[in-house]
Amino acid sequence: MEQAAKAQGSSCKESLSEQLMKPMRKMLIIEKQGKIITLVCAWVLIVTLFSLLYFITSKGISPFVNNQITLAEFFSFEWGPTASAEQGGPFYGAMAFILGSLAVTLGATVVSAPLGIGAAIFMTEIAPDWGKKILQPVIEMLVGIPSVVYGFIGLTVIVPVIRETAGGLGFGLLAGIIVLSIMILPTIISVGVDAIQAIPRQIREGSYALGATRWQTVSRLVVRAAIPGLMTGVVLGMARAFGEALAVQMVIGNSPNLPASFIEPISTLTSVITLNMGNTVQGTTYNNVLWSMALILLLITMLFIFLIRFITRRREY
Amino acid sequence: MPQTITVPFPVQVKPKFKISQPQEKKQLRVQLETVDLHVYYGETHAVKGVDLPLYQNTVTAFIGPSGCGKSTFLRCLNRMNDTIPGARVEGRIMVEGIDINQPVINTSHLRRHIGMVFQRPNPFSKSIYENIAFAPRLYGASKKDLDRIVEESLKKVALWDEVKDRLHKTALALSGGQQQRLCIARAIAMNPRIILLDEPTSALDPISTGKVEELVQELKKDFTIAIVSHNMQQAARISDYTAYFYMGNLVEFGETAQLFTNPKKKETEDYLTGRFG
Ligand SMILES: Nc1ncnc2c1ncn2[C@@H]1O[C@H](COP(=O)(O)OP(=O)(O)O)[C@@H](O)[C@H]1O
Ligand SMILES: [Mg+2]
Repeated sequence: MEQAAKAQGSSCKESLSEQLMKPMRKMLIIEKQGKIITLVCAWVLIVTLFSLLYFITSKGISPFVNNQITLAEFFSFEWGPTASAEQGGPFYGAMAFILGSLAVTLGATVVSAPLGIGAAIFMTEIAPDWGKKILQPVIEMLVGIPSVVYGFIGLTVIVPVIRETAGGLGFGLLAGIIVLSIMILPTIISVGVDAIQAIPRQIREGSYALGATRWQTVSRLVVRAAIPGLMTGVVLGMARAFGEALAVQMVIGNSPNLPASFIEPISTLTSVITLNMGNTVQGTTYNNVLWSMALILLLITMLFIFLIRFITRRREY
Repeated sequence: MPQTITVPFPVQVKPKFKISQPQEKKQLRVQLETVDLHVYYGETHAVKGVDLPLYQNTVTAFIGPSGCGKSTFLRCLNRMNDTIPGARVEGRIMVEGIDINQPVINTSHLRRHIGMVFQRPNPFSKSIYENIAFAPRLYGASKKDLDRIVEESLKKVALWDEVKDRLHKTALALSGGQQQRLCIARAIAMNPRIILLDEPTSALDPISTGKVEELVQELKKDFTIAIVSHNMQQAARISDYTAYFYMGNLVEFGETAQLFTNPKKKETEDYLTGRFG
């Protein structure tokens, strides 16, 4: 009480107009500090990002600007970086890997997007009780499992099963798709659950009050309204699948074949890069071509993101 | 309770506001009637044995301090409490000779006949047209029917002229008052017998409130209406019957004019005159 009175007394010495006219220096400094701190954070981020982009881009386009290979050669199907000159080599065609990466990503998405969205609906709408208590923690744990573990499971469980049932070596597109599907499923589910739960209860009530059943409400309103969020989960999953190297490399077979069959060994951009980056000499054409592949990887990932942004942009009726 | 204080009772409460006068006595049909209705949320006993009729083509207002169970009671009438985990409703709710508070009742069909409008306007994030067509479409209305239903419903809530040029634009761009009238239109699109309104104007500005109140007067020609109101003046203006709830009990129910000017219970009078804790 006394303190309060004192504080009041001191401020009472000045009239209101004096108080109000007092310069805001102290406040301004605090304002400035906050501004500067966040600005620094933003700039660190921007500088890092752009130097990364610059580095990859300059490295990636160097074999073309230095006339080591042509674009047509790079986008051809012939791969033989160690082929001798008598054989007409070396060949640096990366098209098979680009297609391999796309095939394994699309395959995994086609499998896990419907499964993941279905599971998210089940967990939020059909069985919210044990969905929340049991499934959600389990799925959050699954998100955190390192990819080498998924690859290892693929290698010891999925590859042999494919070998026995479908024939071939077991390594290949199918094994890659299965491993990646399992790997990105938790991401799609947990983002999807958040998206569905974010739909306000009033919307559901409005629908029930009109005589809609639970399933009608979920399928016609809740899921539709949650589509942008669900798609975000799918894109995150796709990006993870497209960029995944370790798990894929363990089960894909690593032969420079076209992804024409599900059970033949193929390669992806990531698997080729990880397998060969350490074995090539900096500055050689081979090494530079790997950088070009990294650039392609980056560009296609960006394309995914823009594509989905375009699809899920807020529609005006 | 010692009733020693000598209050000239019943007193004539000076009406500070317009009170709707009783309609000329005509044969009133009971549209819905609750019998000894109790609601529990887990341990909480939220509604304690309420017997209350809703008469056909009249407006019944539920008033009482907040938390007294008005919304809970209202939500029983179309079984919306089923959607709340842990809520338990006991007692009978008779509609045209059927007890609708039974597990066998198809709540989806029931809610077509007993529509509801909520405190916060809750349009779907669809177009204006689709908001109204939503429910009829669930029951297989054809495109031609839908067009007609949308137009009729919007005309009934006096929204048609305001929105007829942007039927296929999002409903979320409408003002709060327009959204609430859209929600009412959405409810009447199913041609229900009863419309339940839970404080439909408490999120609206005075002008929109006025429009909704006018609308309620229009609608009672076609429907039976129950409305929760946090505002006594509003209840007095627009209702034919009023029910006063306190702590989960129905304290008094009667014709609005009688209840407001000449309440039978002391508690009601205290509440109406503001002499209330
Ligand atoms: N979903 C719920 N779960 C538990 N208790 C509730 C729930 N809804 C309402 N209640 C309780 O029931 C009582 C009546 O609430 P309500 O019907 O909303 O009152 P009113 O609409 O008259 O303000 C209150 O004590 C409230 O706390
Ligand atoms: Mg309420």
